[in-house]
Amino acid sequence: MGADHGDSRAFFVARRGVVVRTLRALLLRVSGLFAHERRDRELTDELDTHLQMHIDDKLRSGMTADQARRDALLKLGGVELTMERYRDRRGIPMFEAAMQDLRYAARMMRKAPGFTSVAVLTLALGIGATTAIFSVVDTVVLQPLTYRDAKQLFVVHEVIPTLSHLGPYTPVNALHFREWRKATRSFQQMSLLGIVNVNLTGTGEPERLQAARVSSNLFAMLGVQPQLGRAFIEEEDQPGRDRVVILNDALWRRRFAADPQVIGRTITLDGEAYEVIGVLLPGFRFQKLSHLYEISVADEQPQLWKPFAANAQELNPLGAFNFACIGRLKAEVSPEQALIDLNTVQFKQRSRDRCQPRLNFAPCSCRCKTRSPAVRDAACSSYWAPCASCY
Amino acid sequence: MATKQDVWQGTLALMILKTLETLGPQHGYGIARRIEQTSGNLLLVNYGTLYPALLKLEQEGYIASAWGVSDNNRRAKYYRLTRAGKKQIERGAKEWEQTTEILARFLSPGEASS
Repeated sequence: MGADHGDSRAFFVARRGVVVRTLRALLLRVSGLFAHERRDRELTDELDTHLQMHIDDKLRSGMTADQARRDALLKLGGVELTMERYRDRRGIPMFEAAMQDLRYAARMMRKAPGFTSVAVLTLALGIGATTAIFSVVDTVVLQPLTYRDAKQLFVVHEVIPTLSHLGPYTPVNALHFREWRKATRSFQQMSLLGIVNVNLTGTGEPERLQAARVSSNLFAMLGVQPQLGRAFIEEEDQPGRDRVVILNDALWRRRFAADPQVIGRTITLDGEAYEVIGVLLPGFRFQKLSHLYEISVADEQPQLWKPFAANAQELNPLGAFNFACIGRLKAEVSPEQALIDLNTVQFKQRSRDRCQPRLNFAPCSCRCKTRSPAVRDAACSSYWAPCASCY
Repeated sequence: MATKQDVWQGTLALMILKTLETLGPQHGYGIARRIEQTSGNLLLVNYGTLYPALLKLEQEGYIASAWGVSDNNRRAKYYRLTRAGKKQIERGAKEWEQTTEILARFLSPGEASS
């Protein structure tokens, strides 16, 4: 307190030295856990010498041998006590005691295998159950997705009976999605999402990242605002105008040093230039992708977001069935009504498609197979509204 | 006659280091005697305190030890000061001076009233 400021640096250097010393001592104490006997012998020798020297001195000052010995033992304290204290300093007493207890426990357990196996099983089941419950509670309660009115959000799948051997639902076709969005009246908004991998090059090491192509309204639909910059606008959802990208907070921190100037910068993805227009909030977490896709794809969170900008190849009833569709229901519409609405649109579309004979790639009876109307998905507080479609 | 005092652990370490600095390499008995003498026989160093303290200093690297032979031909373990030990003396002495100085201020009657 009274020390002048010039001392403070020296003080820190000194502290560091002390820490190093303490660590060194700790290491030596760990090594002190071994080779007990040799070390004990050395100490006995040393104490013995000490005792003898003391006696020699007393003898010189005129005591008798007996007196000298008695005096020495009285003055120096018990050898056993010293050994005990020395051992405590040499090793780590708590650790040694714990090891002893462990060995004892192991012996006892070997003696009673029946009891041991019951105890182990009970523990295993208990731990397993707790873990399972925690992982549910964690996703539902502790880390709920922070979307506005998450209960109104639904995932739409397609059902193709002839492909049912691949799974009950199929990911969504971009053309179907466009029709749904245009013609259904049950949803406030609908959004399409596809997962792509991109190579980020140009800034530091090249890196392969998981990215999502999303309809321009996705973030608005989820009720999520970027922390920097802006979300996509509608015209960016067209091929050619879609060279814009939004970063996840983690990626922004990791690759761009959390630089706010990143907005407006151009980055290279798969050799093409993209303009960074936004950075998402740190708390933003997206739905587990395997919850959106029936055919589970990578489970990581997308780190980059770009506009969907469906191309002509994708906007084709025979195009890829490879996308996830999320919709926000209107408040007054029930999931069952929405399903009927979707299927009505889907059927109209199908009959229109039928005018094009080449579309009958799955010559099945056109019975519409509706699944149970809605299954509550506990993990995300949304419903999976399967949309029946037939070919 | 004043009763003999046991030594505090913290100060004992400094006393040991200082003793080794003065005497050069020394065995445990020599260190104990020297400390007792220097204190005017007010301190009593029994080996229950001395040897654990020596071990601690050795573990911390302030002293090093080796077996040797004493003047009257006894095998004894000799302790010597290391470079880190020398620095530690300076540091310890400074800290100690500061502590006593602070305490002295509290104990001196003039300061206590102001």
